[in-house]
Amino acid sequence: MTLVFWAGVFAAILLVPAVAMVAWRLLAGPSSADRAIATDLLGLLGIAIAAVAATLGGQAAYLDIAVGIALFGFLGAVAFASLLERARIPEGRSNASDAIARDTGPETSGTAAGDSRRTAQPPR
Amino acid sequence: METLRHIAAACFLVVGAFIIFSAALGMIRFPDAYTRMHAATKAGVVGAGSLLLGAALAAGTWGALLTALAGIFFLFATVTIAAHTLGRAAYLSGAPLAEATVLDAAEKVYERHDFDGNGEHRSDDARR
Repeated sequence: MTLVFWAGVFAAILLVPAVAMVAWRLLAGPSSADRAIATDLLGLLGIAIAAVAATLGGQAAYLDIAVGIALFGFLGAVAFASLLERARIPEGRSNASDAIARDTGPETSGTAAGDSRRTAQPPR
Repeated sequence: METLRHIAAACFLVVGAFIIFSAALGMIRFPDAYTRMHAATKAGVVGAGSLLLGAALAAGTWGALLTALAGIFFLFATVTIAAHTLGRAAYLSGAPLAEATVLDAAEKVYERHDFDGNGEHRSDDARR
């Protein structure tokens, strides 16, 4: 039993920097798709933490938490995916100044960028 | 027999923790959203499933083993769908491709838009 205990301790120690790295990607991800993917991996890390807690605590009931996260965790990923496919950040609220400049004048700022923004407009 | 079960449980726990740690390492080391999706879903599923199997072997009851096997089945059934939809949504929302990309096979198939509004995707420049 002590072998299993120290294996669980090793797994718990290795899971702490894993959660920290995924949380850093969730906070600092350059695109919104990176944040959605980091949220998905945080769900998988929740399953791993539940398994390690079941081992270290000696309570097999923690495995039910893992089954619950495995069942319903992907609904968040699917919801984020449909949001990313259909929506876009409203005009004037983006973080880049050149995007705002392209919003104000597609007829003055060349054709390629303005055309791409017009064709990408979703139906309101 | 008990000793064999404990050794197998310890092996599954250590290997699963290492695999899911490498998945998290890939999340901060890979260059764009598509390779990060690859690391998070594939290695994450194998690591979490191995940890579940190790925890069930450490508990040592048939109920725990059945619970863990059900969890692994649901992982394999759902995370594949999540990976597919997240990769497709990342492409359609205009997440930038890495500099090392040699082929974008879907650039004439899908119309990408710009979710973040900073104009970083490059499929429009490649098409015109």
